[in-house]
Amino acid sequence: MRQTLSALALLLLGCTANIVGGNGEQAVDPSSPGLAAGGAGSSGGSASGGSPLDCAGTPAQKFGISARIRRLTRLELENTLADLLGGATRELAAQLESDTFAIGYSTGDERGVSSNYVDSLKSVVEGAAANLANASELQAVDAACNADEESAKACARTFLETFGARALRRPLAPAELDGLLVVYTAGSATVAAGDRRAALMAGLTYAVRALLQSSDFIFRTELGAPGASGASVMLTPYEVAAALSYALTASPPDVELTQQAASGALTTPAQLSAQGRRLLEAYPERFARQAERFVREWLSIDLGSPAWKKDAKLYPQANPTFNAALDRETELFLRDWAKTPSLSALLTSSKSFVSRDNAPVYGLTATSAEFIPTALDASQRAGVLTLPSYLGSRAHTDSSSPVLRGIAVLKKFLCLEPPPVPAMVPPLPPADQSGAKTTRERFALHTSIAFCSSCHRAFDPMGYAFEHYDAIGQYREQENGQLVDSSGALVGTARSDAPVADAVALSSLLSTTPEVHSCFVRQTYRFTIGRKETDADACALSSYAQLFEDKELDVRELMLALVTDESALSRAALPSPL
Amino acid sequence: MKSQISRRALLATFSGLACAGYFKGLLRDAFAQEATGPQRLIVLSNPHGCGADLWRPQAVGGGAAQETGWTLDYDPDSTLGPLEAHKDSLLIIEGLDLTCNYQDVDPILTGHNGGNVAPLTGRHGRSEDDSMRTDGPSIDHVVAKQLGTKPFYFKPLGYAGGATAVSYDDAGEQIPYEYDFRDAYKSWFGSFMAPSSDPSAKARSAADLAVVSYLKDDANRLRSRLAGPERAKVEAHLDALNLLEKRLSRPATITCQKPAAAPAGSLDDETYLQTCMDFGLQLLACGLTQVFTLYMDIGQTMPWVGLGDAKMHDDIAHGYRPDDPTSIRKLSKLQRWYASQVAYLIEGLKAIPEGAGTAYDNTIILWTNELGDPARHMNNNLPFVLAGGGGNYKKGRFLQLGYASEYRDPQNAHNGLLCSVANQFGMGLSGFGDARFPGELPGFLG
Repeated sequence: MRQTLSALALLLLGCTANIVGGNGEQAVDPSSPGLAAGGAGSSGGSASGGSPLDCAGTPAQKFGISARIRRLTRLELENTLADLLGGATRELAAQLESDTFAIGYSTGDERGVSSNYVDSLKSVVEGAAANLANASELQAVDAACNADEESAKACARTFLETFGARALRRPLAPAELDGLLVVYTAGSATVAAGDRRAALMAGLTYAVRALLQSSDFIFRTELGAPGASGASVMLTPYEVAAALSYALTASPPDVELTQQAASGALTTPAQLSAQGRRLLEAYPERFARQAERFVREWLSIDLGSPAWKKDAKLYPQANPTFNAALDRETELFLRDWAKTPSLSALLTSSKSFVSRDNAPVYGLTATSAEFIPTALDASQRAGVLTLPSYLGSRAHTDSSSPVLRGIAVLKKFLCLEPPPVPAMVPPLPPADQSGAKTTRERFALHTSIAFCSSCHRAFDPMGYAFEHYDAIGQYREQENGQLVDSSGALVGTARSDAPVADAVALSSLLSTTPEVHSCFVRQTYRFTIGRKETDADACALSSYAQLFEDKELDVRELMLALVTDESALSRAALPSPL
Repeated sequence: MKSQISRRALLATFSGLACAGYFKGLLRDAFAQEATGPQRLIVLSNPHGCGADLWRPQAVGGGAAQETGWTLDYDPDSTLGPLEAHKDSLLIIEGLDLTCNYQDVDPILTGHNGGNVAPLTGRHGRSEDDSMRTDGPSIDHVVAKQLGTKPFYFKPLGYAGGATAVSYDDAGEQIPYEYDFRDAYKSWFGSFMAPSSDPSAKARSAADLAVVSYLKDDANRLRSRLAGPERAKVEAHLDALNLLEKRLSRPATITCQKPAAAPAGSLDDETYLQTCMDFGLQLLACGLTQVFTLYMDIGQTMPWVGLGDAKMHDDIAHGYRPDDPTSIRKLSKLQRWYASQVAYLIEGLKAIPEGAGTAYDNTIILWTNELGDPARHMNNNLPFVLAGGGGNYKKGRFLQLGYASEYRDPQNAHNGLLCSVANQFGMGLSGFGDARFPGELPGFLG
């Protein structure tokens, strides 16, 4: 969705090498270095060409990450509140201000706090704190606590110390505990004198509201111990534990991981790796949701996007029920995939989930509202790129779009950026006067103009491969009485360029293309580490591309490796505070 | 701390910063005591550019308009016609350019993305690869800090969806807009309480403030360990907490009626933007905010505009040709509808009594667009209209700065206008955004 505008402009206006402003001469030859690589760290087997990477003497698998604080994403907040105060709090997180996607992923470390975020968080937390009775630590706040005010306060202190440590993912500092007790006292005073139990609970409720809105709760720190100095700081074991747990399960550390941190047993990559593996095994559903989130964000699958407000005359079936069914299908497809998450399976599986609400898009009939695992026609469907939810997200409201679909492959699978939309663009003849019968013919007309094709040949051939799928992802043999031509090609790679017959063939080719593997490693890096790679990360990323292939493209292994290497233990220090 | 800093010194600080952001709370607090001038800023923006020939005013009886004495309703399709009744309070400016996006910028950062980033920030995107972010704040964010108010940012999920944003924080990150009335209602009116004589209400209010006090202490502890952009994140948190504290500590000043429920409405509805405006007006009337930004984007088809089933982006904006009167007329029909919505907002403000007059008298409305010529995605000749009775600049004027159709022609950087508007709020800035284009807009005050 975020790239929709520029892609639309490309579609509608073509792209010319004759650009005012001095950027026209570059970026017109996709067959050799010319397309902008999408971010740095593009070497190491990537598609962008350029000088070969020399990693001799570079420490392997080491990223240059600065000390930072990372705000919880919506999903992370949801899981965290559920762990602290019970699953009934889950629905509250939807009220929180939307995630942002500056690096393409909600996990990006640029996330700050707006006034609206603070207000929406207040509303969410006040709702969550009403579920205080679900906090496991509350069991210690027993009837004895009601004896007198002193007992109540002592119990409150104990509760805030233990619950607080879980909320902040580390033991509380004395100043924090003292501050929370001040809030506790103010909260107790909101209850009429006499009901000591009610006063105790009200005090705790206010203190929990304070905890769960605090900077130290919403921001995970990666700063090292207070007062640490030097060019590089060692993270505290608690920070290491939180980074590991949130990366793999979008959740706070569990009891065992916290104990490992407390006992000093999280100081080597091997220890981290063992704990990471344990988390993946213990919380497969949390990992599956995290993996689902990653793929959805990577491929911008968004049933709420404007692209999914389909033209009601052409696609009357694309009503809210249908759209919700495609969304649910995507969720089931991705969470099922996450059980054995290889990149090849993601791109080639012809198994999906069908109910009466999405069956028609596959030309099937079903009567149950339940989604049943179903083997689809493998000649028509292969993996996530042929899911209707994906295809409809990369289409217009009234037609397919070879341009949007081609650019998506370029950006997301090859990590290449299309040249910018030129400011000076020639007018196009109106669509209804073009004489074209199929979408492809219309676009072929556009790209037969030399200065259009100079850009469009970098992505249109990949987009044409998807022409069997209309604006809602239905398979079509014909369009307006004409046979669909889905012949296309993978372009933009150094070694793997080849013609393909259709999207099934393209998906299969993508899954075996080394440039795709190294791009996928970069995408995974951005999501799990929460930052865009820099030139300094190129060698490390290159070694991970090798690891990914050695691990038979297992995405779980890749994520685990990315967050359990030496880089997980330290950070480059921030400059001294002002 | 603030009492030890003279206002002169603060102004000097501002001049040196040239709108560099990171103003923080202390400047705002220092100014607040002396605040005069407009109390509110409303920013309106909409897509699809401008058909200049039917947008600019004309002299009464036809011909080119002078600075004053013009009419807007000279043609059934003239863009600004619906504002004729309010023309004495308008400042219409033609020929302003997003020069910061292309002058000595290689590659140039124009098009839709440039047209979102620059209009309110006066800055270009960070890079070709990161073109929807910049490195400083937009004017609504800056003025909200100056006024010490939490801005209301709203955007219907229209055609552009989440891709569009015109408001930016101090770090140049897009500010997420609200888009759901139910959430907005809950967030803005959820803790809204009429003055109460209930004794426990006082205790609850004290406990709410104790929570915020803890949050500020906590944020300050974390802030002291940080530097650079990491520190800015926590400072933004502190800014927001200060605003929350301010609202919690003065509930008694709120005298308006809390609406009983969140507004309802659908994007397919001709009145949807008016519903958005009504909600914003309610917040203004209740004193819950003084800065309201509305991105007016409804969708691809707008049958009520009088263009049938035409798609606004694909057919009307992209079908525009400066040498084709029919295409100009179509675009003007579309934009005229937006003007009618602006008129609706103006009338709403005029209906809110304030002092001896109305809320309109103390408001500045800044209405802009993402593009000039929409088919070529031009980032020059953007249509700018100021409305409202606030401020000391002379109204009822048309500033014709010259229409240069190509980027190579002489340009009028729009930064001057942003600086002028900010200074209407007592900011005393020497420039806004890109430091290459300093100063106020010549002729602004009139």
